[in-house]
Amino acid sequence: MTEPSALTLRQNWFHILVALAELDMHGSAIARDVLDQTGGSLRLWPATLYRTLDDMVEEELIIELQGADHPDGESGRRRYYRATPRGRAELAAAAERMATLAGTARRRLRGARS
Amino acid sequence: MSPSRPFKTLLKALPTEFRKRHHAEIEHLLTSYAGEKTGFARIITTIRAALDIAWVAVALRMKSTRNRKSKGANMQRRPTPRTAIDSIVQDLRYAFRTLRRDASLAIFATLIVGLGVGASVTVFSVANALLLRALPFQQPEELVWISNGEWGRGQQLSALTVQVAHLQDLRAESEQLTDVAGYSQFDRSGDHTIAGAGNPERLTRLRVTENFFQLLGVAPVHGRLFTAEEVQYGGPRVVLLDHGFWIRRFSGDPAVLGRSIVLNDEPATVVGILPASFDFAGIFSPENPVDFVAPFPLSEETNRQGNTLALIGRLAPGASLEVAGTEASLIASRPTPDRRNDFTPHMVPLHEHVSGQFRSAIVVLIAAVALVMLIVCANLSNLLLARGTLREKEVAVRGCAGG
Repeated sequence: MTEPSALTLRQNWFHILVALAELDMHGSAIARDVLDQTGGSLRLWPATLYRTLDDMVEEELIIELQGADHPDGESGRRRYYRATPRGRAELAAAAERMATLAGTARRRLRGARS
Repeated sequence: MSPSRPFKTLLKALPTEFRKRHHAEIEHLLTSYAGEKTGFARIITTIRAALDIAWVAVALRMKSTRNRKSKGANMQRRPTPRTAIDSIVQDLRYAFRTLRRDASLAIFATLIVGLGVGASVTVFSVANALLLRALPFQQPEELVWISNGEWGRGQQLSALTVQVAHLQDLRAESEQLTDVAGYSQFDRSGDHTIAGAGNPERLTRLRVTENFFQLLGVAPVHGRLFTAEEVQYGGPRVVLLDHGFWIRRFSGDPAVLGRSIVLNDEPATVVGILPASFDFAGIFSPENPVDFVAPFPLSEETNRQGNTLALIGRLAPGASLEVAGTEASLIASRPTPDRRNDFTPHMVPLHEHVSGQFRSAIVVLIAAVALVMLIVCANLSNLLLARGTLREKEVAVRGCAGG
């Protein structure tokens, strides 16, 4: 299995992990959350969304919940997904990399102004 | 609103396992996305979603093929493709792999086939225009070309053309021809100059009898044809513009109608624009593109000019070419009070006159191109046969593997 920090998260994967960081969600809810996160600039089209979710399950970044684990009141028809510890670790590592990069950018911009 | 039938059909392009797992949710999301938009935006969303499905279908199938390939390292026979798309994708991949492996052969074969097809298409275009396609006139099968003796045997033009009085007699007396019209064979290329707005330009005039366009069934796209007054000798100077000339010189402006243009230092009024389909040069006179058309009066003055006209007639319903020819000969041979040039009517269908001059040359050209195509095919088969021997090992391995 790949070490957390060695995996560069694809854009879609990153946003899906952000969506699943707090709550378990089904596909449509994930697509809506990603649309909200990105201010409408990233729309996950249906076939791409479910293909990405399958790939992420294969990579053990998320898992598909069984019927008994679905949130209360939800029927078993829709598939729910949850971020795995590995997925959360990858997300944290990616967020850290982005924060470092953002910090570097800010520092250099400040240096350029002074 | 549920996804439309084409969408449901498109979903079938997805691999079976993926489709079974997700089709309900994909359909739900599709419905939701489409429902958010209206009008043109909905169409764009639908197209985008369809492209997404097609792209994912291809990507998943390629992934599945890659997985099968890596699993098939133990030389087990590949499972038979389950769907037509699997099979097509597999064939395409194999074809591209083969082409890439032997790029020089692929380039050479493409060039050979390109040469053969290019030559065939070029010659067919010419043959289609001259031999196969009907003339762009009303009921072209009824049109006949009437010359003075047999056309194209090296005679001088004045010996092949016809005097005005003969045309008038044929029009008045023939029962086998509903009408006869003519155009002057003696308008030379570039013998007129247009001056005024824009640069001076050398133009070619065509003079036709009053009924020329009516006989062919050609109507102007703008304006009108000549009136009876305008076709009188010494009548008002009027012209019809060729479509190509109108576009080139006047940018296709219909306001030119009724305006006066200066031709050879004399004003002439534009009364009409001929349709683009009327290509006089392409049909009657390949070497002389015409820029404008003027009337040719049928009068005593023009009759005195001698043989000037090429004639076109229209056969009456049920009339035959032979009977019409005999009748025309009788009319022409009848004694007349005035002195006239000899006229020996010779009739051929108009399409035969147009294509007849080139028929044998085109047939030879078609035969030559067919031979070239045959050589191309033979060369290509030789190349592929030679290459087949190089694939001996590959075929043996495939045979052993059962592939």
